[in-house]
Amino acid sequence: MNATASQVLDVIKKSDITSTDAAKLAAHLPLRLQGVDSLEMATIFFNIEDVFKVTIPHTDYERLKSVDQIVEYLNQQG
Amino acid sequence: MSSLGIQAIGVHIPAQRISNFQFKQKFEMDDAFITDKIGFISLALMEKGEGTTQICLKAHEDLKGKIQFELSQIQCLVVVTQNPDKNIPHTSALLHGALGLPETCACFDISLACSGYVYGLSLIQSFMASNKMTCGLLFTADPYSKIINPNDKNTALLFGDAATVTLIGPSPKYRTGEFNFGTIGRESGELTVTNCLTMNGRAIYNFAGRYVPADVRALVKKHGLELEQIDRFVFHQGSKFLIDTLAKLLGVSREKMPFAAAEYGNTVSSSIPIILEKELRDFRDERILISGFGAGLSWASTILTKL
Repeated sequence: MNATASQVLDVIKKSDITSTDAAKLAAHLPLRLQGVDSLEMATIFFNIEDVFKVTIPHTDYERLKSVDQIVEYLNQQG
Repeated sequence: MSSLGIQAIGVHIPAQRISNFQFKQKFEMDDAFITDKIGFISLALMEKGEGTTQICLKAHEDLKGKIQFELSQIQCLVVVTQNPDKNIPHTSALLHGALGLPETCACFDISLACSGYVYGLSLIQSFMASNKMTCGLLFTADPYSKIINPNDKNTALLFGDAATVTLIGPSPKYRTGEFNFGTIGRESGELTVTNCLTMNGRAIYNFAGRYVPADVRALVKKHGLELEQIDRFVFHQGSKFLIDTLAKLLGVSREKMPFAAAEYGNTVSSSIPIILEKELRDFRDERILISGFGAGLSWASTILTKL
């Protein structure tokens, strides 16, 4: 897979999050630290699974905190 | 098709409330997260010393105030609960004794959570029709205050206590259509009780998001209808966030898909009949799609048609 930070950020923008401004998210910082709440994290990952056609187990979900980490994970899935 | 259906619904939501705002500091939440995401600003709590049987009896009192019927006519009494006062005897037998029902009355409990009311409608009506019964009571009562860990951020702000009773009879206001049912047993561990309730919120969200819209579309097609022909979607009130998400995934307006539980919480199998009680009073919507989903993981849905 050739996922990019831009693609993941695009998914987040389309997730209609309200807890923070999705346009201002930094790829290297944890999303929760940037104000994304726990429920919106679930929505973001739901949409990432749909768009990138992957299933992200809960153990992996818990350690993927930033956009960069999500991108690295997606590109490891093949 | 059976002539039986929903004649009336009695509801008991305890007057006592716990404000969720008191947990803000403890769980590091702000007001907006509580009101706009969780959606429950307060949770109903049954009185100290009260139990599942007592709140059922209070729902029955409410029903008596709405429709005339004789207890001597009740041929079937079913209780949907996973939190009975005792494991033995079944709660329906306790209610049978408290209400003084005829000895010929059939009583049994159904162990289901948020899908329980919809399953219950199918089960009681099928049982009654196949045994030529014409008058039955379907109770829901699952007071989760018995099993909540007040220090668990994932569950402490969600569940409220309540009970309902639905009179099933031959002069209904709404009749059920065909049902859909489903189970994902391999994921049952995502919402379970060992000493108290534990829930993987993300897993439940994913389950609801992946299975409920697909089920609803399949159900509507099964009835030869289009989604636009459904007047109201009465979904299990898991949280405001879940209802918002499901409305978005289905492309249904929030006017058609109410979130009505802000002041009393997720009442498990009672959440759908509490809203239906108002629907019966208004008696306006021609087609109401009801969908219950939760522990199991389990789901059930049907379309109610106004008569």
